[in-house]
Amino acid sequence: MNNIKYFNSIKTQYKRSLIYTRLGFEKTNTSIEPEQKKQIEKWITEAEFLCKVSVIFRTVCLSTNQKNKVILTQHNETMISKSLWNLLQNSKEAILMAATAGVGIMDEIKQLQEAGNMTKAIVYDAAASQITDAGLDWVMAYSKQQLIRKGASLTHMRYSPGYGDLELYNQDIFYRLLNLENWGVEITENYMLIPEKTVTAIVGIESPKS
Amino acid sequence: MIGGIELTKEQFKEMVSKGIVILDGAAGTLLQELGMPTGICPEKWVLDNPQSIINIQKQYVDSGSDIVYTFTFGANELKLKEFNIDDVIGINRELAKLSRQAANGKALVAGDMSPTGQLMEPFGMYTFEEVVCSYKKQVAGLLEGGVDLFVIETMMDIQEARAALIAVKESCDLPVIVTMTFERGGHTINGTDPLTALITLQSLGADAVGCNCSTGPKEMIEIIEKIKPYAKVPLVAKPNAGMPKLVDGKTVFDMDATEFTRYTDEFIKAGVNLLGGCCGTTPEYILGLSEAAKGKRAYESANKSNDLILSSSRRIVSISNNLPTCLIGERINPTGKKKLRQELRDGSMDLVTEYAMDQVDEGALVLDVNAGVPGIDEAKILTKMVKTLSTFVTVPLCLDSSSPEALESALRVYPGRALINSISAEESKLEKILPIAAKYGAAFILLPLDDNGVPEKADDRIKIIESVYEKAKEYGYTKSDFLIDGLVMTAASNQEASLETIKVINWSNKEFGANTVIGLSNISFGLPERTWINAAFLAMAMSQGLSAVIMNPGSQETMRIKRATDVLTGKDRGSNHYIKTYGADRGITRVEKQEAPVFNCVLEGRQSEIVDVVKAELTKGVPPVELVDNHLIPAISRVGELYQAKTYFLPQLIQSAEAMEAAMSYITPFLEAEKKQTNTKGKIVLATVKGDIHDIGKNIVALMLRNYGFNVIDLGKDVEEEVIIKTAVNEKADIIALSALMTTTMEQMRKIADRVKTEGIEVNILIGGAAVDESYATQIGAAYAKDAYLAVKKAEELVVKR
Repeated sequence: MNNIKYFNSIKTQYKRSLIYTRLGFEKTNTSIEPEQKKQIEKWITEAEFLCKVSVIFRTVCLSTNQKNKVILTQHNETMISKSLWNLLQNSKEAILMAATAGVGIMDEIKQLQEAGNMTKAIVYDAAASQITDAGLDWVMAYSKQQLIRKGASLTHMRYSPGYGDLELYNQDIFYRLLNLENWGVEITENYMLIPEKTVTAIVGIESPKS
Repeated sequence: MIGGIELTKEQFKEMVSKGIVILDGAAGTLLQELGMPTGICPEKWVLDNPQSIINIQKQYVDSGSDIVYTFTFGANELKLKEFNIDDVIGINRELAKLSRQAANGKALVAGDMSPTGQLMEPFGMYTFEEVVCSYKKQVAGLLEGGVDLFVIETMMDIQEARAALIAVKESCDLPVIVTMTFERGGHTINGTDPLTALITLQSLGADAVGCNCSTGPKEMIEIIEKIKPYAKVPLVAKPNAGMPKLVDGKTVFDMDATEFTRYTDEFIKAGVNLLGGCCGTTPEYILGLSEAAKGKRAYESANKSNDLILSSSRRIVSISNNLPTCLIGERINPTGKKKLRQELRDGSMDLVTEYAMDQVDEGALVLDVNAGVPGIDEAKILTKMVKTLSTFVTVPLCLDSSSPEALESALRVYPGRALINSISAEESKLEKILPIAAKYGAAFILLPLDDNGVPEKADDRIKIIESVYEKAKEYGYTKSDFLIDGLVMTAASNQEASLETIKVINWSNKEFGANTVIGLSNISFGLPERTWINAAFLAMAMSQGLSAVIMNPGSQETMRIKRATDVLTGKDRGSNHYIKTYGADRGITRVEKQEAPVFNCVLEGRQSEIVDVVKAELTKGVPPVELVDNHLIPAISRVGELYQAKTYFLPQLIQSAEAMEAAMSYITPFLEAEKKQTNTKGKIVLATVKGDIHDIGKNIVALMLRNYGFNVIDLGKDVEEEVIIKTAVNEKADIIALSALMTTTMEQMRKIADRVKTEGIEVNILIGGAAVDESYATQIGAAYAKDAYLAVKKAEELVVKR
C-alpha cells in the first residue's frame, strides 16, 4: 500500500468534442440549434462538477520472459494477453492505474432517469465517461513528467481489462493491487466496477538500462 | 552573492536587460551516465559523490552559463521523505555549497526548487500552508548554502508554484525565477495555460517567468511569443533536447546540439530573456546557445497590453475600455438574501455554487464574492467560498470585503490574480489593505471616498483617486492594476449625482488613463421599474468608456442593452459577441418544419411546450386520434430518419422522444374517452441481463419503443433468466429484448435464447449493448440492433414476421 498514490477530485483535461462524438455527433452532418447546444454545454459543465475524479496508481515490476504472459513479479500475478505482452516488451516496470468519478454523478444520472429526464441523463452519462477516462490521461501525463528526468518514458498507449485480448477478469488484479476497496470502489462477480464510472489501465515504463 | 553582497531584484533586472542570460543544461541525465543508479535519492548520491556535480557544473560555467542551478530538484521535504531523509536544511545547504564551489564566482547560483510530487487540497492531502512551510525549510537550507537567487522549476500545479514563491518571498528578498512545465497541448496537466501562469506569477512577485521541460524548443518559442505582449517581467525558456526515445536500452533525445542551437535566434525574436536547456541537454548545447546569443538582446514587444488582467487557475480575463464591458456578477452577496445568509452561517456552499454557475451561464466573466454576514467568522467563510469557487468555476473572483484579515486569508489560497473590492482613501483601508493587495499581487477597485465620506462632486473624487494612486505607486502598482469606481449614487435622492459619476468615468478614461467600473443597481434604488433606470444608466456610462460593471447578469433587459451598447460603442469588434448571442440563425433549425405546431414540437424536442400546444389543438376541435396519427407519429418517424442520417444525434432523438411521450400522456385519456385507441404494435419484455448493472442504454430503448407504439414491460437491470422467461410466457410477449454491456455477462443472452428454443416458447429475441454484435446474435439465434432507433425498426420487422 506504501507506493500507491491517490489524488482526490483532480481537474481532468477532457475534450468536450469527444463527449459529442460519444453521443453520435458528426461535425459534417449533425445540425444543432444554438439553444440546444447551450443547454448541452450547461449539462456538461454540471456533470463536470458532479464528477469527483479520484485517481489511484502505483508502479509495479514486471517480466515478459514468457510468451504472451505479463507477470507482475512482486505480486505473483499474471495477465495473459498477446497484445499487452507485445506492448510491454521493453518494460521492466509498469503503472497500474484507476480513475473513478465517484457516486455523486451516478446517483444524479439514476435520479434523472427515474424522473423521466432521459436527455439530460445521457448527456451526463457521456460526459462522466469522458471525464473519467481523462483521469487516466492525467495519471499518464503526471507520470511522464516524473519519468522524463530519469530518461524514461511511457509506452505509446495504455491497456484496460476488457480491451482487445486482455480479458475482463483481469480487472480483479487491478482491484486488489490498487486497493480499490479502500477508495470506495466495489467489484461484482462479473468484474464490473461500481461506481460505474470507474476505469482501470496499465501502461509500461520504458527505462534506459542501468 | 556578488562580492559578498546579496543580489538584489534591481541588479537581476539590470543583468537581464544587458543581454540574453544563459542558464545551465541538464544534470540528472549526465549523472546517470556517470553511474548514478536509478531508484535511489539522487541528491543523496551527489552528496556522496560531490565531484560529479562539481565537474558537470564547471563545464556549464565554462560553456557560458551565467546562472547554474543547485542540484536540489528533489530536495524538498516531501520528496526527501520518500527516501526517509529528514535533514532538509542540511542537504540543501551542502548541495548549494557544491554549486558555489563549481561556479567559483564566475556564475550565479540559483537555489533550485521543484514539485513536491504531492497535490494539495482539495486534490491531495496537504494544505496550502503545509506546502508553504515545507518549501520554507528548503529555502532556509539553500540560503545557508549561499545561493544568489532562486528558481522554482518544472511546476505542474500553479497553486504549488504559488506556495513555493510565497515561501521564498517570506524568507528573503532574493530574485525568484518561476518556470512551469506545459504539455504539448499548451497546458499544465492541471489545466493552466502559459498566459494564465504568467499573469498569476508575475503579479505575485516572480522576477522572471517561463517554461521548462516537457517539450523541445519549437513548442516553447510559440509559448514565449504568445505571452510576451503581457509580460512585465523577463521571460525564461529551458527546453528539452526534443523528446526521449529508447534506443538499444539507452535514452536518446532526438535533437542534437547543432539543431537545438539553431532555435536561439527564434527564441530571441520571440522575446526570451533567459535561455538554457532541460532534459537531454549537455554543456555542448549550452555552449551553442551562449555563442549564438552573444551580444544579442531580447525583442521587446511594441504592443504591450495595458489591459487590467485577472486570472483564475485556468483562464485570464482582460478588462479594458476597448473590449466589451466586463460583467462582474454581483449575486454571491448575502445582503438582503436570507437563505444565503443562513447557508453561510451553516457553512454550506450549495447556494454559492448555484449562483456561481447561473451567473457564469448568463455571461459573467468575474464573480464578486461577499461573505458579509454579521456574527460569522468572515475570514473563514470567505476563504471557504474562494476555495470552493476556485475549483468550481474557471472565471476569476472579485473579493468583496473590507476586512484585512478576511482578504489576506482568501488571497493566500486563491490560485490566481484576484480583484479586491475595494480600496478607498479611508486611512484604515489604505494602510492595511493596500500592503496585503500588493503582497499577493491582487488588482483592486479604487473607491473615491475618504474618511469624510463620498464627495458629491466629480472634481473632489478625482483628487482622491490621484492621492490613492500616489500611494499605490509606492507598492509598485501602475494604472493598469486597478479599476476606478465611478461611485454610483441613488438617482431617486439626487438626480444630479448620476452625471457626477459619468464625469468621473469620462475623466478616468480620457484624461487619467485607467479602467473604470460601476456597481450598477444603486442608481435605481427607491424607484419603480428599476430595470429601465439601470439599463439606461449603464448605456450612458458605457458611452463614456466604462470598462466593467458589477450587476446581476440574470437581468435580461439590462443584458440586452449592455450587449447592444457594446456594439454601438465599438467595444464589440465586428459585433461578434452580439451576433453570437442573438445570431440570425438562432431558433431556426436546418431541418424542415411543417405548419402543424404539434409536429414541430416533436421535431424540435420541445417537451415543455408540447402539452400546451396539444391542448390548443384539441380546443380548436382537432380530434385526438388525428393528432396522434397525423402529427405525432409522422413527427417521431421523421426524427428517426434524421437520426439515421446523423442530422440528429442522440440527445436530439431522446429530446423528441420525451416530447412525444409528454404529448401521449396527455392525449391518452381523451382517446380512451372516445373509445379510440391507437394500435399497439406488440408486446416486448425488456431487461438488462443477470450480472449486468448498466441500464441507461436499455432505458433509452424502452423510451423509443414506447414512442413507436409498443407495449414495453421493462424488468430493469441485473434480471434473472427465470424472471425474463416467465414474464414473456405469462404476458404472451412478441419479443424478449435483452441488453448487456460486458463480455462477462453477454453469455446470459445465449442461455435465454437456448431456453426459448428448447422449451419451444414462441417469442423473438432481440439483443443489443456494447458487448454484442450481429455475428453473436446470429450465433445464438437472435436479432440484433445497434442502437435505440434500430431496435424500433428491428422490433417492427419481427412483429410483422409473426
